[in-house]
Amino acid sequence: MKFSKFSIFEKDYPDINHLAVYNTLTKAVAIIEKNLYESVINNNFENINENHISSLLEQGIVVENDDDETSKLNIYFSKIKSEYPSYSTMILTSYDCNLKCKYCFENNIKSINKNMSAEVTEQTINWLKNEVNQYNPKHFSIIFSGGEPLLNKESIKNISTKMKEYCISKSIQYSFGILTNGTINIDESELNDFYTMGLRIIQFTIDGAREIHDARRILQGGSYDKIINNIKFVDSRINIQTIVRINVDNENINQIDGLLDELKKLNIKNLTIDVAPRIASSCDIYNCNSHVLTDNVLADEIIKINEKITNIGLRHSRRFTSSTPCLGIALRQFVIDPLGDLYKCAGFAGMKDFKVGSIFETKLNKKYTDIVGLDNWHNCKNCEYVPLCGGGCMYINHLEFNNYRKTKCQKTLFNKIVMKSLISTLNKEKIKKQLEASK
Amino acid sequence: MLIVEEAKDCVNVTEPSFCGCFISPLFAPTTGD
Repeated sequence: MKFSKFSIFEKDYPDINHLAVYNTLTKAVAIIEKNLYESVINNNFENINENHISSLLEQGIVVENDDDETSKLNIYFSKIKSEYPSYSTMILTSYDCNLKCKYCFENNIKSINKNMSAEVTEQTINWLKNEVNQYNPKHFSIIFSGGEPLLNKESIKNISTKMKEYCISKSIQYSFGILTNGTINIDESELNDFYTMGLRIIQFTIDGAREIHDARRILQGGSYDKIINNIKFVDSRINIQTIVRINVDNENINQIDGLLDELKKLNIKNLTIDVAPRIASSCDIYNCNSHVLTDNVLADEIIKINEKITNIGLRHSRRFTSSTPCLGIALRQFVIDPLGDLYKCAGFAGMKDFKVGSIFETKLNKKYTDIVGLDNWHNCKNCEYVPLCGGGCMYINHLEFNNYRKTKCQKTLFNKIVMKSLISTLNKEKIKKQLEASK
Repeated sequence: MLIVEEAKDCVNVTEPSFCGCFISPLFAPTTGD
């Protein structure tokens, strides 16, 4: 018996006699005694509870000495690529945005300034129905993004009403989420309609306390207060998951606390805070990419902010920890843009060189084959983090090397952040009590 | 020893969580309340 190569550890958790272990392939989390850990490392199982070993085997944390973990990894990626119990797609209802953020990764396409037309909306519905028929998922979900998706509420309403109706007729669950800048008002009747249509998640972006947020996410008269009011309004009317995303770079990294304190006061029912790297832009017209943090610094800063989030009694996301590889790998996950063009990554939306097809055509193009056939994870089969990163981010590769095929390894970031991010979402005191009770 | 979270089927998810960069990963349940 040995530890899986995908098992990673946090020593002295929750106390000096134990370790936390997380398996990045199976996503199982366990707390084990130090002597059990040493027994597995030393391959000496005298005086070890057999039930404990069989539990760890069952969870994939421990494997038999002759287990072929590469085959397990192959199966994992094969499932991600081609099985669809849950079919997800991302729809950009508009390339337009009312904010003028200098760092926006879409600054090169905002000039397209176009909402999805009624014709494209109808064809999107037809195209999605065809996907449902072909792949017959148990659950079908859409993420609406943009630009600012709420600048085109009609497309959201139309697509959701019809897709929900269609999914129900096939006994398929339907839900959707919206990634919004949070400045567009939704009135009570619209909000109720959205909820009835399947809205279950809204992500708002706030880049720190009022002053720094308003300096970065630019709207005449400021956007911070509008967003806070809209979060409060949504929370008071419907019961959904609210995510506040904070894009961090070296311009705002020390000005986040005021926002966290404000969010704490708001007492939102189902709030998750996602501290995320501010993504570089491939069209950096305002020279903002210089503010992007290195992976090393980013990891330290996210850990620090997440600790503060936990300490004040709020929840943070498990960014980098609970991720599965992105839609770029899966055969039938797409980003549909306002023109009806298909992409394999939101970062590439609007960049015609990365278009992989269109909802108006049945055939996908050569770029599609190039991207889904890439499978960079093959080059990283012995890395403990490959089940999380999938062999790297195509968009980051593109920014770094002007070559989406060449991997920019982010192991430094994953090494620092994965266990820390996991640990700070666990309830340490409860775990201690459970360990005590199990003695 | 304590199993805090069980092994999961990577594709057996009921919520969109497919993109680590642009979409925030959803909060996973914890041992908390």
